[in-house]
Amino acid sequence: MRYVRFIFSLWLVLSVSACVGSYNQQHPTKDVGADVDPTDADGYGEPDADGDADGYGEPDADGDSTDSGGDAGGDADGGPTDSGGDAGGDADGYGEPDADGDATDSGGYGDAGSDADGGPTDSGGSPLDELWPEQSPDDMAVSLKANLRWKRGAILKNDLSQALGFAPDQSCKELELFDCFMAHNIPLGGSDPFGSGLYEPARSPQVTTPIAVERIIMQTCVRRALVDAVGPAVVFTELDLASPALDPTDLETLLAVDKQTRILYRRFLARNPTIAEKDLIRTLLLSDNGELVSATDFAVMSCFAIGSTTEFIFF
Amino acid sequence: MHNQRSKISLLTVVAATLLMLVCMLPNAEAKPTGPGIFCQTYPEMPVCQGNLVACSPCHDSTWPTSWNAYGLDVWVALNGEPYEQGLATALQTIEDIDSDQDGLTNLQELLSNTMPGEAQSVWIDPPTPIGLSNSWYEVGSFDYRFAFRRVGAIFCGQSPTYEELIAFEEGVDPGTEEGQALLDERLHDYMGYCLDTVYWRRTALWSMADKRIRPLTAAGVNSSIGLVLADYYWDYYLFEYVLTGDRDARHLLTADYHVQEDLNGDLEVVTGSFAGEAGIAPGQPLQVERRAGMITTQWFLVINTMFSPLPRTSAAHALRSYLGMDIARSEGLLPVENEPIDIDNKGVAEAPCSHCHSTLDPLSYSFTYYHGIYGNLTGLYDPNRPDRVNVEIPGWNDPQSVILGQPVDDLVEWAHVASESDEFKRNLADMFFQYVLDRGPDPQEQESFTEIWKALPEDDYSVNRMLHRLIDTDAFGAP
Repeated sequence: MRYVRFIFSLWLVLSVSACVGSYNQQHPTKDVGADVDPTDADGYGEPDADGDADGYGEPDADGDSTDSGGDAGGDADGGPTDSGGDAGGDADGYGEPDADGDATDSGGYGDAGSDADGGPTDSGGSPLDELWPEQSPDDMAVSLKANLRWKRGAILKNDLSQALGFAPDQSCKELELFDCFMAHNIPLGGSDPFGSGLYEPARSPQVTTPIAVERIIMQTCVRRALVDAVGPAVVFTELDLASPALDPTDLETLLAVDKQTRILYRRFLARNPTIAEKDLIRTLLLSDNGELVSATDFAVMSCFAIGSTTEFIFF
Repeated sequence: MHNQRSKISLLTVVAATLLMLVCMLPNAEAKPTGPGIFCQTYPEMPVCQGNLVACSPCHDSTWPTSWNAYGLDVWVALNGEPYEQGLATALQTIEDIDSDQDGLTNLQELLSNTMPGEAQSVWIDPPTPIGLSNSWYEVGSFDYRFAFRRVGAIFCGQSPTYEELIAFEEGVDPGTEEGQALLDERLHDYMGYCLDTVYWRRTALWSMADKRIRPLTAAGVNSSIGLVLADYYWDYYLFEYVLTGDRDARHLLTADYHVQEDLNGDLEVVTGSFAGEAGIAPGQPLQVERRAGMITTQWFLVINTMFSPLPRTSAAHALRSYLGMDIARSEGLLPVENEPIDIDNKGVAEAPCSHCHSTLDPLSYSFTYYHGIYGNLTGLYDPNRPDRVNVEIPGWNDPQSVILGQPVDDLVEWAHVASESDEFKRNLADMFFQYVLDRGPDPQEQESFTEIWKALPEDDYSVNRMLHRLIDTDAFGAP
């Protein structure tokens, strides 16, 4: 069985690499923009020095020949809807609707980057528009100040709602009735001056805090997936949520998964994933038993995996 | 064998000395004059900057009195000399000793704002960052992206989106001075935006007000049992108003006006007295010339003074909330000579009580003329209050009020002295520092923290300007 898997993997790598080579030959004018590495296969602009660091060698996205000019950030995946110079400025860049109910879209600060007006990264791209660089833990400068803050209830609520495109009071309901953040207010680091006379919140996370945080993130991810499945999708725009099983050997599926991963990273962490992170999310395409998972399950688990990182919960 | 015998002899002598000391100690007691002398000796110490050291550097307990290792060394260094006269010299004598054996001398600990008598209380500078580089953040120095995200989360209540981050860094070369200046300008623009958001004004600021206002729904305007004694929303509105919009933060203690919300949700100043309707819709009936901001609102007097003839709780809460010193923790002790006189015969002149009441009672006298819960007089100034039934203080002779060592004529002057003090400035900065970073300043941050509150007069006591300074510090923006 192990040999079969190995042969299959080898075949997959070779065949996909062949596709990449073919694609690159057919697209000599590909907009590499800020790409450090012209061999960058996925068009995300990461310094993919080995030509295909992630091993899958996916051809750059949709092969959209109309995607010219605007995608300065190395974002060659604009897709059919990615018109009008929808560059890095429109960070969604994937053509997902901007009117997603995202709390920050409604008149908040700095909306300049979220429209389709050509955006601020049209001119030369932004480091943020690339995959974040990989760095070996051995040589990475690590802060020893522990200068991090716990994202308490109110901020977590706003950030989670923003990330998953809900109005803050609609993101999570216990028993479909009570606002989760009210129900778990104290473990989430809130106070309750008017109710129980608790004038000051806990100084540090309590023993039930991780349970409450994970429960809420999971529940909000599930809610988002269910709502998106009915459509129109707001967050899980790259997945066919009706699909009973996502095939990790299918190139289109992998591309969709990677795009979806990038959307989630941008929404939760305001950055692109690294190659390793992207690859890690791909592993969720198989269950612990090695079985295929449905698109909805993948959506929920990838959402949960990214949303429950310490990077999202602390700042 | 000879060495062993010598060791035994030495141990015997040490044990006998300790026994002698322990036998002598119960005759001594904690002296509330100690903190004042300490800070006169070490005015530059962090613990004395806009603050008065508590008893805890020397004492495990002030009653029954017990000393920690540092306190014992002070006691030994006094060498029998009268406490008030010998304390300064004794403190200096043991500066180079490591009383608690934690590896740092007493002087080093005092400079680091840690306890020289507690081995667990020690500060060690964090090591320099390991590793060669970090592609994501400027580790160990100010990072604009890190700071930008923090500003959004803390002051806007929501982290910046990916799009906002891109816009923030658009067209910037962070490696140049121009680029840094541009990022700095954008950071502060964003900060200005956040400081005017509903989140900052209503969620963040109100959460800081909670423990100062101490709302009690059962007795507030939304009482479910119909027991409406006062309306604490006046207090929240005043707190919010004073600490926003570049207003003078001293008005927390000196405002003679009130603030209410208009139909658009904006705050507007209300002058004059308005009694409201007793039991249904409380107002702010206090005479205008007797007002002292947050510490004379009807709610403050109801919830703190209540039925107390001598409102010690009100004075202690005012000191704790707006000067950052908690008498219950032996903080802010500046005993007044010949106090406490025990004007209300509560026994506070007894040794266990006089330690704090020699400071607390003179702080409280000015509050005596303000009614707590008292029918239609609730929250009013009344020169005859000490003679009123149920709150009378037989023998009341208008004793001298004192705050921070300064005699004052009435509560308005009390509040004025308080609002001009370093303690007020430091506490204001500390309140926001604690909220912003979820912790107090560490020893490496003490200097910039002190600079922030000392700049308040220069900033016209504007909290907004103080916060703009705060986000420029490494404490805020250096990962």
